[in-house]
Amino acid sequence: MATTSGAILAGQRRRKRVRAALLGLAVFYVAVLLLAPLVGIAYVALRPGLGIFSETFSDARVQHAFLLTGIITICTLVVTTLFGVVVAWTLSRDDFRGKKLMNALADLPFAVSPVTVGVMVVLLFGPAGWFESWVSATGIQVLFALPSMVLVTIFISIPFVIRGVVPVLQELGQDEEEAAHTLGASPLQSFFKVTLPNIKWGLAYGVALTTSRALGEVGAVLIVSGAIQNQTETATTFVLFALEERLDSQAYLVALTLAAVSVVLLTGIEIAKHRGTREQTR
Amino acid sequence: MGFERNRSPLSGADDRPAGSGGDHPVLFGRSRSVRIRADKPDRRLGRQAHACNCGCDGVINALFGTLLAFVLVRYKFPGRGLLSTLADLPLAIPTLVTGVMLAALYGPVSPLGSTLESAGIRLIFAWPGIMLALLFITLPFVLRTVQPVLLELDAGEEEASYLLGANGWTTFRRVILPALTPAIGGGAMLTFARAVGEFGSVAIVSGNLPKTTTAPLLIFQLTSQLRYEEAAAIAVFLFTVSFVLVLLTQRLLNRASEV
Repeated sequence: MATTSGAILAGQRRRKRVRAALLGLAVFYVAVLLLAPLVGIAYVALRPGLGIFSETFSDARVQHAFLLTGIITICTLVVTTLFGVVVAWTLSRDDFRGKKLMNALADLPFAVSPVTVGVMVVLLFGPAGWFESWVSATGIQVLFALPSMVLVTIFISIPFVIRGVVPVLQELGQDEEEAAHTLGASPLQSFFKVTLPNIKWGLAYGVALTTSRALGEVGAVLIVSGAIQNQTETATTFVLFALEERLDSQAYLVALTLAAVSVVLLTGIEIAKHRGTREQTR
Repeated sequence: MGFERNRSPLSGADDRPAGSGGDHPVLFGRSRSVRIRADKPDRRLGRQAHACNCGCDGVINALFGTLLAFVLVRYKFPGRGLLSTLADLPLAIPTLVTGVMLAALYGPVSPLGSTLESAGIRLIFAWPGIMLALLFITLPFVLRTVQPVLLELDAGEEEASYLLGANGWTTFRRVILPALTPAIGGGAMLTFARAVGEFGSVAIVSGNLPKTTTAPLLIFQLTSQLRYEEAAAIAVFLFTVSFVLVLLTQRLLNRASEV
């Protein structure tokens, strides 16, 4: 008997050791891989002193870059949120031929390298592209201008709202909506009073992810915009070129700012995720 | 009008500390076709090394992603929520910023980087740096595919295994791991697909040397030289690879959830 309990005790001790080792390894990996670079950029960016803030953000080029990033992000958010909800609704409520295909297509941007997206748009609107004659007829500058930059950013951020909302809508079922309908609510009323409050956390999750993706997009935007200073240079492309031009301290500070914004967004993402799962399990 | 680039974005690396004589970055000017042909083997080498890098990335991620998922699901400890949030950081941080962060930490500008430099270890503007960037960016993929499966797993089977006298490792290998395998494989494939197409961070940490030119970087260089056909060819290839991988992953994960 004594030996058995001894063996159990030994086993418990062993498990505790294993637990400590696994836990330590996991924390160590995350700390070295993710936290250390974050500390590194903060140290390097802030080393010149706090004066670098006013110096960098009073620069017209930096201001313009951030303004452009803001415009692109807002356009992207409006479009992907509206259409994302419509697509998510269609995918979870309707049955139609080609639904599987549509489902797969909605995930396509996850699979495509942003650089590839940029090349696709250039091939469509660029010299000898399919839409070139149409574009030159209307006189709108698409390539190397805002429209193409918004277009690629939208393409890249399409899946986030859809993937945030679809599972919630599926989980929700149609009972409440049918009840609203029976009680005489119009489709719009039922959407705004019944469906929207139910999907709000899923939607918030998708919107937050979309924002961080749109803010940080570089590959596709770089190819279609040409990153012309004070015209089509976004915050991320500014960082890339500032490093090339040896404006290191400015580049590091702008990168740090973008990182800080993403950390704030990440907090939002996590809150939305937790609220969402809590409401689902309730 | 707008088609000319006033600057050659990724061409500035030759005056960086990384430039070692023979390495010529992007090639503009008259002799460019000659030079491009001249460095072709180097570039092919670059792409092979990149494929290898992405493969390693998938394997390392499979290991540590599973470990992280296991720790986050099975152990209760202070700071668990923080660790879980941190693991999502790569989803939120712009990949270009990831590259800048790594360059700041391990590059010559930081004390750590200069110490490494004097010890003869070069991480940035070389393959290890690209590897670090890819690992950073793809960290959540395996974790987030394995975690839900692990949560659903029946604890009874594990307890039975322990009661039958199996130790922790045997239980993990015989009971837990088989259930997780499809999710780990799927996550690793997603990792690979993402790593192959990665641009932002690699553009920074590669230093744009021919040796470290990955396929997306090459596409960008070609488009900035207005060589759209060649760029499109590589883009189609890249697209096919990642699309097939994503389709396979979906199939794998669907089958796993049906069982």
